[in-house]
Amino acid sequence: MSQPSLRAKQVKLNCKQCSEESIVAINREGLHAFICPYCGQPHLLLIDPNLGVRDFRQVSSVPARRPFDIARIRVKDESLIPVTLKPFWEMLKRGILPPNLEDGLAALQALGLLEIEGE
Amino acid sequence: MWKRAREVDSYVTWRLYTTLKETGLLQKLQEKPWWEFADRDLARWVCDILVEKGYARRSGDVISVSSAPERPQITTMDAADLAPVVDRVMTLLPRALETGEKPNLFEEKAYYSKVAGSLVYKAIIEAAIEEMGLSRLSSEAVVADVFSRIGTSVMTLLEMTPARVIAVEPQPENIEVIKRTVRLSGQENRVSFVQASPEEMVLPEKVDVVFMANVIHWIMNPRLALVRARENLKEKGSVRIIQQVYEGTGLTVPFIHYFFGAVRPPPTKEELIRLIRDVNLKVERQLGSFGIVALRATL
Repeated sequence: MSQPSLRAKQVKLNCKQCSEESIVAINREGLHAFICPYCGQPHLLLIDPNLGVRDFRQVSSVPARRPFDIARIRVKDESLIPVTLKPFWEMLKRGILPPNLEDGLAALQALGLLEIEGE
Repeated sequence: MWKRAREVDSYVTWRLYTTLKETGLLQKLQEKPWWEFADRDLARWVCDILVEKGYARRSGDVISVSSAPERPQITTMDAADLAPVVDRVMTLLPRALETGEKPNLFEEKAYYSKVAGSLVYKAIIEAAIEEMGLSRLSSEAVVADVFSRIGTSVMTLLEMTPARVIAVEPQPENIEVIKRTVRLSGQENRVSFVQASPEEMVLPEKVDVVFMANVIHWIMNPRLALVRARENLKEKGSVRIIQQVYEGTGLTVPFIHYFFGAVRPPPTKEELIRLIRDVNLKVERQLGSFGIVALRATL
């Protein structure tokens, strides 16, 4: 994933559960967690290098607690990802959210590899 | 696989040597016998590595250092990935040697996951599955994977065999990681879980194969674990063991394990075979090279 960018963009996100609209600021590509401030529904969104929303989906949980903004999810040290989870992380880096995304993230989190920026 | 294993082996040896030299312990190992160190096993192991790799000679119970290893060139991704883990381990070595405090990096999950989920480890398991003919098992077969850790062996068994797998693992947090990883691959219908230590395992059914990858030096009572393996086998079932032994890469790679909860150095090949025979299992086939042994044992 790329270096921090000085660019920023505001995007509208409509909660997949309650349909309420939230406006959030994005300035980095990669995987982000978003928790709807109205109903608390967790979502994941994938931001492309042009700061476009490539994927936005509701999930049952996210490894973040901030309800009013988005939190970037990254791996602290990619060299420590076990071989069983490497293909999953490579998919995410290529902008593909696999069907059982939450399980992959939960496994990485249980191993202490995930880092939530801004928390 | 061997190239990666050799690079890890060389890196551990070089890092061990430089750590000992920088902390003055290399001099101490030449002055006082290994059994005078607080952690005797570890001191003997350190001496054995330096002697086996040709950088020291044994002189009674002390060693005499003859040369220094050169910093190895790392060309494989996996050796490069393991280097920070080796570096972390070596920061704990001096204290462990001198105070006898058993180091345990198990709580540093990210490092543990790399040790238990390295490409080298997966490659060893793949080779064992292939060599031991497990890929020819039927889809009706059941394999108990004993001491699954974070699931590298479970996932490799799922990839390379059509069998159902029972993962036996004592740590609930490791079971959670395996469950998630299995679900990620969409194969949850092929795997069930038993939370138990290898010494206490009681499986829900008799199995065709008990698979034990690098278990012996991690557990308190390997003999009891083999008794349990035997008890849970079908009449024509077999125990398949892939184990690093106290030679070649089996000296250096398990050295890292010792800092993550392994309880002792790995057995020698002879000790391993004796252990298996002691529980009335018949060793039918054995393969091995460069410090790794693959065995098939039956009732």
